[in-house]
Amino acid sequence: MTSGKSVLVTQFPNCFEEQYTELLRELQPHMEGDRPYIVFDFGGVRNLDSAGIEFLLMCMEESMKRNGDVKLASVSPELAAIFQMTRVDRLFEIFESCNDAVESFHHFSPDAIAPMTPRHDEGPNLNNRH
Amino acid sequence: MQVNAILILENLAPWAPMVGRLSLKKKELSCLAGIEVFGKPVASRIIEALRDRADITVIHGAASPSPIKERGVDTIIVQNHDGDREIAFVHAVQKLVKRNAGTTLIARLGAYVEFDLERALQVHASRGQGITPIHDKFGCLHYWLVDTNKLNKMTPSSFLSECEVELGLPFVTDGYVNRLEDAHDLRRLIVDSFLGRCAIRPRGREIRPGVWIDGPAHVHRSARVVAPVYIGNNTTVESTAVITRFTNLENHCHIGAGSLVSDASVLPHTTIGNGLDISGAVVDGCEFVDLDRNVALTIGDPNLIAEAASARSHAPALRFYAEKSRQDRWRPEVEYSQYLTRAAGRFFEAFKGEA
Repeated sequence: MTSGKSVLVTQFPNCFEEQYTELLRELQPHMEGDRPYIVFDFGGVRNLDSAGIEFLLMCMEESMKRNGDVKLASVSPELAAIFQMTRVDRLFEIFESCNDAVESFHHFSPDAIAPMTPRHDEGPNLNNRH
Repeated sequence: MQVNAILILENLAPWAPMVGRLSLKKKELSCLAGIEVFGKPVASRIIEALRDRADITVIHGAASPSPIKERGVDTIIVQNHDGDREIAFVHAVQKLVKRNAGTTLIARLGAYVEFDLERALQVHASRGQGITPIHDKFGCLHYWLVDTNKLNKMTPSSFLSECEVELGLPFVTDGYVNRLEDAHDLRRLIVDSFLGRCAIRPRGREIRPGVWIDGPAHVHRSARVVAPVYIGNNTTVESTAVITRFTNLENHCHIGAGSLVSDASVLPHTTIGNGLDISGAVVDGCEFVDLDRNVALTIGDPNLIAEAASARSHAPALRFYAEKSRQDRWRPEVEYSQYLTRAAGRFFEAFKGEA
């Protein structure tokens, strides 16, 4: 876990409920301070269960209560699919790297990727190959 | 002119290797023709199209998701991919040779092809070549018209190598072709069927323009079903769910309350949890294929998507156990699913002072 100024960057654990509890314990002091800014690094995480999504929502709730924010970085396409499926992608700003996410706390970044992919507003995929 | 047909269905590979164009390695092993589209496997539809013109033998693996059971069709179910399939092929060929049958259509499914069999036979006969491969403008479709006497003592592998050595002029079809190589092709077949670009039509009753319901299905009165949509037999759509945009929900599926299913295929016996957004995807049990991102993942959390009870559990002998497991089966937790409502509430809390 590394922290710079008031932004806490932390590796998100793979989906085990005990790990979430442990991480929550670690984050607790930071989240109780003023304006807790947290970046979750999803590098190496390929799957996420409902407990993980609950955990993310809880962190966001706690941070926002104190005018802070939670941002996500290094999200794999598999995870992005899960975020979209659970509609969580609309609630979090998602960045390609942790640096971008940290920077975004200091000034507005147009690089924020939210939602991760274009929505299906242009109609179904009708590309013909035959 | 009556012909014989041997249709070989390859084993169904897991979803992962055949997602999008990532699936080069195991493509030869994969076969989507066994998958149900609008309540019937694609292979059965191919058989239906050939039935009047051909005596059909189907060879498929025991692992096929939807066993081919068609009246008047010889079906050989094999356990092992390589050895048993070869033996089954030889057995089918020997039967034809004994009957002194003229021309045989051999197809490795594969591709869904609509072609004029009569014309193809005429071309084959007029050229006088032993093997006439059937192509579309992009190449081989793994369909061949073969003089049966050429097939004697051949295995599928020797037949294929023979095809490579002695390639006759192909018969090029201009009919509808879908190679069914990956999940993208499967979706394209569904959309094309809805749009009437091919001969496949949804089974069941068209209850209003573009909305088909096959057999008893339960759609909650507050759910929205926007055409074109197909809802399979015994499928349940819970309250406030939205089903739209070329979506097909196959047999025995369950769509949870508040979920959106758009431009997606939900294959048989799949349960989708509450409050989810399934867009541009193919879902098969706990396998989720995101077509936009070209990724396949196995969801291990039954709160999201899961495999429903299989067709086997509906057999009378297994009904008691099925009932028991149904009682024990997971039920979606209502409060868990309300992500958006809860998140919106949290945002409201956070920002109410700033409005």
